[in-house]
Amino acid sequence: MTAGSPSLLIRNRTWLIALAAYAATVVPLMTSGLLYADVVVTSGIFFILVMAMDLLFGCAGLLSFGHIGFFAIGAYAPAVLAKFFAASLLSGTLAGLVVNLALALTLGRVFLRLSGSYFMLGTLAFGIMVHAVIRTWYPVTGGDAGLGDIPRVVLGSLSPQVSLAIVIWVSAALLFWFSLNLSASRVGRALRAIRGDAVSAACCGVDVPRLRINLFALSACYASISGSLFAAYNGAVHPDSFALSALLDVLLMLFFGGEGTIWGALIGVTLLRVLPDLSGPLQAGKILFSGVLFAVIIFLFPMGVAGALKDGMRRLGRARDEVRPHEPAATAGEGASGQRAAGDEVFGQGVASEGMARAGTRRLRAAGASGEPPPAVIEVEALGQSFGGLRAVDAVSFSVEAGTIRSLIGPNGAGKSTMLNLLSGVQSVREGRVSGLGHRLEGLSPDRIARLGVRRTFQHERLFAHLTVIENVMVGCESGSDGSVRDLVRCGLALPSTRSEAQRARAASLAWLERIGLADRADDAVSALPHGLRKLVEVARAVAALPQVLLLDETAAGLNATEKARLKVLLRSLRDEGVTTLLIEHDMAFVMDISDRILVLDFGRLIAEGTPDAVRRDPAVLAAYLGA
Amino acid sequence: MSAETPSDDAISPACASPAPSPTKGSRASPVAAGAPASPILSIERLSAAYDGSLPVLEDVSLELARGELVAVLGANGAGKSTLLRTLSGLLPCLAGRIIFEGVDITRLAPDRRVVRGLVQVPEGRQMLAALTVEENLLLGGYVHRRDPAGLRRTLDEVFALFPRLSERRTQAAGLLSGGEQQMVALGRAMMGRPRALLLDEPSFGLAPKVVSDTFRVIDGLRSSGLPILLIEQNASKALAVADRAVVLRAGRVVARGTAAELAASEEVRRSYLGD
Amino acid sequence: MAEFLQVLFTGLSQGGIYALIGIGFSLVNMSTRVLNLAQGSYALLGGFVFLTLATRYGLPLWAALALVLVFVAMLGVVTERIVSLRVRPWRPISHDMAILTTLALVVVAEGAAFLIWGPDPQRGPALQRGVVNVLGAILIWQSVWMLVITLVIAAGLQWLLIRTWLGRSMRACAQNPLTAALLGIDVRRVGMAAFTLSAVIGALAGMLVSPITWLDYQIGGEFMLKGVLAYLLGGELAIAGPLVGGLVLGLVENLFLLFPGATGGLLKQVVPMALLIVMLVWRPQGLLGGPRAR
Repeated sequence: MTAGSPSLLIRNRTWLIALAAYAATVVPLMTSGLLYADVVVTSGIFFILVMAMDLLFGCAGLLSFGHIGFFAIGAYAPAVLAKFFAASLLSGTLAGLVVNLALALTLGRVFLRLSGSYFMLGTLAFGIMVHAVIRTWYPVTGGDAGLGDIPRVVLGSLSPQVSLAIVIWVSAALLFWFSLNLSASRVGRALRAIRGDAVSAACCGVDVPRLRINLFALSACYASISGSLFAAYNGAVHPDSFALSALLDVLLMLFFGGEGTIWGALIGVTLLRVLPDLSGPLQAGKILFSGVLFAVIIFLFPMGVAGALKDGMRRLGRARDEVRPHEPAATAGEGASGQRAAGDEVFGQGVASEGMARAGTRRLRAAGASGEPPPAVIEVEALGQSFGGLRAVDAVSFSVEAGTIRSLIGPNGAGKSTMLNLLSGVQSVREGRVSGLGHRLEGLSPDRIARLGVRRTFQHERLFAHLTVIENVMVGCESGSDGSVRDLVRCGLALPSTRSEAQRARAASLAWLERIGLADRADDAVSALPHGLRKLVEVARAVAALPQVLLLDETAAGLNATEKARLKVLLRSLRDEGVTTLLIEHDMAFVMDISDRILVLDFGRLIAEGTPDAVRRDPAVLAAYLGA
Repeated sequence: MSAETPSDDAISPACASPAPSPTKGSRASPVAAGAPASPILSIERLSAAYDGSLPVLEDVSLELARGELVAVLGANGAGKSTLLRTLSGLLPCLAGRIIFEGVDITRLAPDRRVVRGLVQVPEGRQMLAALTVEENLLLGGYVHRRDPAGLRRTLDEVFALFPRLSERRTQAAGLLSGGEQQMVALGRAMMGRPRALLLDEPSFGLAPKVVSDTFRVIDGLRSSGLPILLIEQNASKALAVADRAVVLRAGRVVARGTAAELAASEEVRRSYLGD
Repeated sequence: MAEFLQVLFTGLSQGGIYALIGIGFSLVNMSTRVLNLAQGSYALLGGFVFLTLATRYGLPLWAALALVLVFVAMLGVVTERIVSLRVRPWRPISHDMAILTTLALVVVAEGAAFLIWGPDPQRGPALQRGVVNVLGAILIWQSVWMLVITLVIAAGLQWLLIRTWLGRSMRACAQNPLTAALLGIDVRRVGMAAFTLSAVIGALAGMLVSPITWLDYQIGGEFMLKGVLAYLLGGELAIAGPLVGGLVLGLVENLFLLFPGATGGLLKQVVPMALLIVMLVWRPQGLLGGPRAR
């Protein structure tokens, strides 16, 4: 769902073009009487609501069924305040916002702990409950009769209808602008990263829970504003507008357009405002119609109509690209030493130019310790972990010195990956102690550990599928997001500082891609890369944050000889810059070549530790590998 | 134990010489020489890939004769488990055919293959953790559920083979030790009365003694005439029980031969310990 | 005291209905990992068809019951077909899409019910009319039967899960569908059986409750909500979880009806939600039940 590069979106003012194009289609239709003004104005209202859902689902992959509740509260707040306190529309809107914000923060805190389906269930329960409360609490909400007499908006000498239409579409445009900025920014990238893989996002330093909660609250505010405008437009509120079938209508608009494509939302909203009128006057018919339509859309176009169109276009584009010859890497095979040397050479140049600048700062850190043995950056003491009856890690202790490359080897199921998960906070430490970079790491969340300067890759590459190659690296480079409200607002308003930050991150990421030889594929979707290159991108994502400790899980597996050679050069140059690396690897030639020291794990226990030469001769290691 | 002690230079990075010599590949054909005429399972030029990625398995051919144990060796990521996933139907084939007892099962659903008698012991044992040991075993005989008496008999046989499980029959399988879980996994497969057995990394994450016990059981099964395809990273253990073996690398068969031939060849060690 | 007893009992029998819907959720979810929001719609459609057959066409209750069960079982099969039409072992179901599809089915059922039976609430025939006096509390026979049948169904299902091959294979699928397939279990068929079973249970709930809580076209959503709450409150213990969750929910709701006027009605709506939130904070795995998986 990522349309090209985000900075382009802002620069090209796509949002203005989109709205202008929309106006250019809609206004003539309206004046010629084909489209009722009513449809256009309410489209604006529902556009805001759909944007609210799209922010959550398109960016963060969270589908909330509770927004109909926020929408309802936003609508009833001005109605109730006007009835009891004769309050103005504006104060009613603000009151609705406050209530919704409080609710969203509370509910978000609870529901966002749940995994996807349960989040839907929880929010659905909330949405239906709001509807039930409105119907039951008749002294305040008027029950099934609803409430009327909502104050009107008048701008200067304009008629109330025109004033309201202006207010609605100006708000819609502003909120549209804000969410486009947000989705194109660092925060948007972090969100799409979470959508693709929350664990991996956390390991890039994104404070996943906090960011999600704040986004949920923001999205609830959108829904609230939309509700207040809805109430103002109708001049009255009635519980039927907030029933289950209304929720479905909104979902229909969201999916008709295709989530994540704001264009689609606009089309979906307008069409679905028009279509029910065509399906007949009967309410039963309308309900049945939207139900069936929804089922059909979910079924035929799971990505929405706009998504399907986009996909079709992309496929056409790819068919043309296919003429290009295959990657030489794919057919080169393994082991040709001449090729390897060539790889070294080509690659070495890239390093020389770029790595030097950074090296200075690193050396400073290492310099103090040049005489004595380098200090340990990772210390593990009596670390253990059990799964059911299995001891995955059993009383392991070791330490890794700064600026060295340490390998962790051992047969399948020896506990190597578990060890990395414990070090990076992906699994919580229950037995033993882990300290890194002078901090106690046990009990810290993965994003905290990542922000301390410990980055990792995964055994089965976990790139963010919803981001391009360079965006993946940028997420690493930007050190994630602490998910604060300040961050959201800064990015939503596209302040100049955030823009220059983004440009810097982009430049730095591009430099990293150059360093691993992938600069020419920066704007490709990650799924278009072969497996080996994806692993290299993952390494780039980890090192782009300039970490002090790098944890690599079987990065060389699946790389061909050239790529392995590149990786080797990269790891060595990082070591020279003071980065400490702990890597899991099965390719012994690779391990023996690159490691300063090696740890051997078998059945969760440390069975050997030492230099490559020593480990190579260790009988226990030979037995573990080839079998006794 | 037929495997020789590896010499020092076996692991040295210096052995990063070019890919297998073609002569070795061509020498690999005498496969059929020792094998009986009609194999129970034959895999013909199989290719497979995970959703949309490049093929993980390319043009793999392999035959398993009745009463024979064939080992599939190779390092991590060589495509061993992918091969087994396509054989059990969890992964679709891109190309090639799988013939089991004369029937083409290439497009058959996983459960239909079990009904035909092609039973798999999955990697990592895959206990139904909340179910008891007995329930796990019984579910292994799901395809024979219409024959309760026969099932009872098989269950008794399994308990006779693994007396330990009999003691623990009412315990939740997830609470067993790794070795006991391996027994449940093997016993569960036996409950299906397999006509051929697919074993995926039986040594996975097990202590050496348990691995030895497991291989003793596997050897026993082979002696009883059950055809077995064994996927294993522990080469010497596997070669000690196997009649024949193939070595996979990067999704292709790079060597094949009798267990003795491969135990003596450089190819195995090279596959495991470096380029 | 008598009033309290009456509320207590009404709550339990009402809760039994919630429990039945919740159990339906649980059966389908454990077998297929799909959260079938259409669960309440089986109650809606089953209840409406039953009352139409019994009152308008004057069929004997048992015949109407049999026809309804057949009809609803077919609905269950159709749901399964629609939800997992594109699923293959190597391409597992997209849970978002599955849940959305079932939501669409809820609305389709709602629209269909509106078209056929109109907007007005209707009432089905009772198993046994009249009331019974227990310690001063006046209980409707129908709600006595509701509670009894709920408990019988729950016990029967528990037996099914433990003792039968279908039950065992459902539990196997709940643990690990891939392993289940490797054991020769036809995972699709187990899923279909679960959908059918849950549809039948849902329809029974709808038929039982219709003489007390009148049916209208929107009630499918309400049933669904109560079932979801029962399921979330109780925890993922196949039968016992939603059973206990449903009964607790029914009790709590009805206790608040002791408050006079609109307050009681309002509390009845808000408190279950608050209860759910408290639960999710305090005991996310539900009242009974192990860790909430996935």
